[in-house]
Amino acid sequence: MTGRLGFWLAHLFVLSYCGVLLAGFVVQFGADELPCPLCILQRQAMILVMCGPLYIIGRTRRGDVTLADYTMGYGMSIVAAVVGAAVAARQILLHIAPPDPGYGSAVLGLHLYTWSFITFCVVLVFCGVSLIFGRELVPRGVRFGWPSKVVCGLFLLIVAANLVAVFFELGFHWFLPPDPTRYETFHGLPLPGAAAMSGGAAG
Amino acid sequence: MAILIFAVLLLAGWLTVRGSGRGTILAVWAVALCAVLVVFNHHMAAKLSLNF
Repeated sequence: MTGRLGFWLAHLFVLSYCGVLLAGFVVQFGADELPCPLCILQRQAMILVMCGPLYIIGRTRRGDVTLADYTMGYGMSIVAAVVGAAVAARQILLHIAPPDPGYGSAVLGLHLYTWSFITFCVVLVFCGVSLIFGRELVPRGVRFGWPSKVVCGLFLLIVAANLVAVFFELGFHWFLPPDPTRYETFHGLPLPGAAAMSGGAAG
Repeated sequence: MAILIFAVLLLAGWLTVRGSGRGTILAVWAVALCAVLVVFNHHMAAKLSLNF
């Protein structure tokens, strides 16, 4: 029973973070706010965090997951979450002193980088608890079925979408500017609607 | 650089989902993590410097 619980908790973990990244897309394209370099780094850290539970899910293709696999998966998540939290904390500290309005608009009273910091802290707690009960939660008697395929497919789709979105924003430049104001790929192109695509507000 | 990191992350995700070897996944994941740290260090230096 607890073996199955550990397996589905890994799915819930990935699905939750996929939801967070999709919410980032909603703010980016819905509110027309371009992510800054630190925002992009936090998205990358979130994807690195998700590789942990995905590793545990992927191991079930080869049969039962060992305790070593389980601890490695959540170990990867902890390391990536610490990096992500450091990036988010850096961005919070950059904008913490009034009258700085912060970067972008607030969601439920907090800026996105503050929410990001909170999610990384939640990940650290979740991974800690999962490792404490590691022996009980190691997936046993489960198989890589269609729910796992859906979760893995969604993850890959979101990473690919981020790759395309960051190409739109970065163009053929090496680094993003600190406060991006337009999609570089579309800037200067004589395409219908290119001016609207390239002129997003920094927020 | 961000495009390259996302490409490496996509590769890491693909290998992880396929259930590839432990060492391969860990190596690609570590490369992506180090790249994130390098870019973070670049942006730390580009903005306000910190005093510890």
